[in-house]
Amino acid sequence: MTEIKADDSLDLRGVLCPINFVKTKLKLEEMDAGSHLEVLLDDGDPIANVPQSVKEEGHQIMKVGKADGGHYRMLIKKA
Amino acid sequence: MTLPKTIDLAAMKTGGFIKQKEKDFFALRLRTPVGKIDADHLEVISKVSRKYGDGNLHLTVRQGIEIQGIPFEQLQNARDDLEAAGVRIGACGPRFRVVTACPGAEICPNGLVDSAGLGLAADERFYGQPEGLELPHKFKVTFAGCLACCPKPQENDVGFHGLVEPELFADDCNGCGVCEVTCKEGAIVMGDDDLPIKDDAKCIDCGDCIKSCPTDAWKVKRVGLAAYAGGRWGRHPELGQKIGEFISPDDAMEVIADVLRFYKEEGKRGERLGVTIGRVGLDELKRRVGK
Ligand code: SF4
Ligand code: SF4
Ligand code: SF4
Repeated sequence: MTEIKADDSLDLRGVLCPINFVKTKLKLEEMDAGSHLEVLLDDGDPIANVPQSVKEEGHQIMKVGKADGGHYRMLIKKA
Repeated sequence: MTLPKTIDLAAMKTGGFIKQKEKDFFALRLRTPVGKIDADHLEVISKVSRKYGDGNLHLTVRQGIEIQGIPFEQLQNARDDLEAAGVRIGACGPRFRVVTACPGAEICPNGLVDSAGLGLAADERFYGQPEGLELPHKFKVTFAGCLACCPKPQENDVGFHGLVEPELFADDCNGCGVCEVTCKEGAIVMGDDDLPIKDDAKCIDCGDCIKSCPTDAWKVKRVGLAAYAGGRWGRHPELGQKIGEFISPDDAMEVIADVLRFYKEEGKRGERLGVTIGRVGLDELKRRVGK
């Protein structure tokens, strides 16, 4: 897969569910369709819940990967 | 003032009347399968409580309602008022009890099967003394919509939960890795080709990967119910043992019928199903279920 560059990013480490999803949603609302947002999510509930909620909103998840600090990087393409 | 009617003793034997500590006062147990209650019925229940009871309702752990503090001579009147409005009376004693269930697939985002609908169907078919069968003891059944098992299927004489087997359509996968991090069982790892690999020995068929996959590459291969038998609470709690997997909703009803037949034939008076299974053997029960 070719690397996609994120147009914007959001650090949601330490942010609890469902605030992390709400922040993601608000951020995506400001962005243009087709642009990419990178979010950093904690392990545990956040990584289990946020991707599913983002999917339910109709956006596309391009990539999820574990970062060095034990958290996750998720790249979303706005619908 | 309405004259106290004579109590219908035959009706009283079917249960639903629970003697209270205070002399000559009873609680009236209602039949509210799967804990689903019509709002109009709730108003009738409320009126009956104020008219004949002491104004208190008890919510039971099995999703039921009991109207407390009804004097003996008013029991029949209370019962008549309720039944005239379509509110049914519950059972006590060695009977097939009101079926419980979670809201399931119709309401709960996690639901895989229509547990509430199945619970209502089972209650309709088996409640009380199913097929005229005298049961050795009480018999409790519940349906859970998914593996979260909110209504505790393993604590019932027969309990079910929904499950789903996922299947990967590799062409639809974009290699994002969400399923790997979503699977709580560690059953999915991303391979070198950026495709997920599922370890069937670790997979418990919860369906989280299907729900989370952004491209719908994980699809439903089959949905069904897992069945457990012999669970109970009380002084000697025991969890039910699995007797089947990926049972269809229709077959679930037949599983209940088969287990009831086994219990009727093998069970000794006063013994719960789990004890019967302990004596006769789980294999023997399984042999007689799903024939
Ligand atoms: S058992 Fe599953 S479907 Fe039923 S209420 Fe719990 S989470 Fe929802
Ligand atoms: S069904 Fe559940 S346990 Fe099985 S692979 Fe998917 S997420 Fe993991
Ligand atoms: S979540 Fe779906 S798209 Fe992403 S790696 Fe798993 S199967 Fe592929």
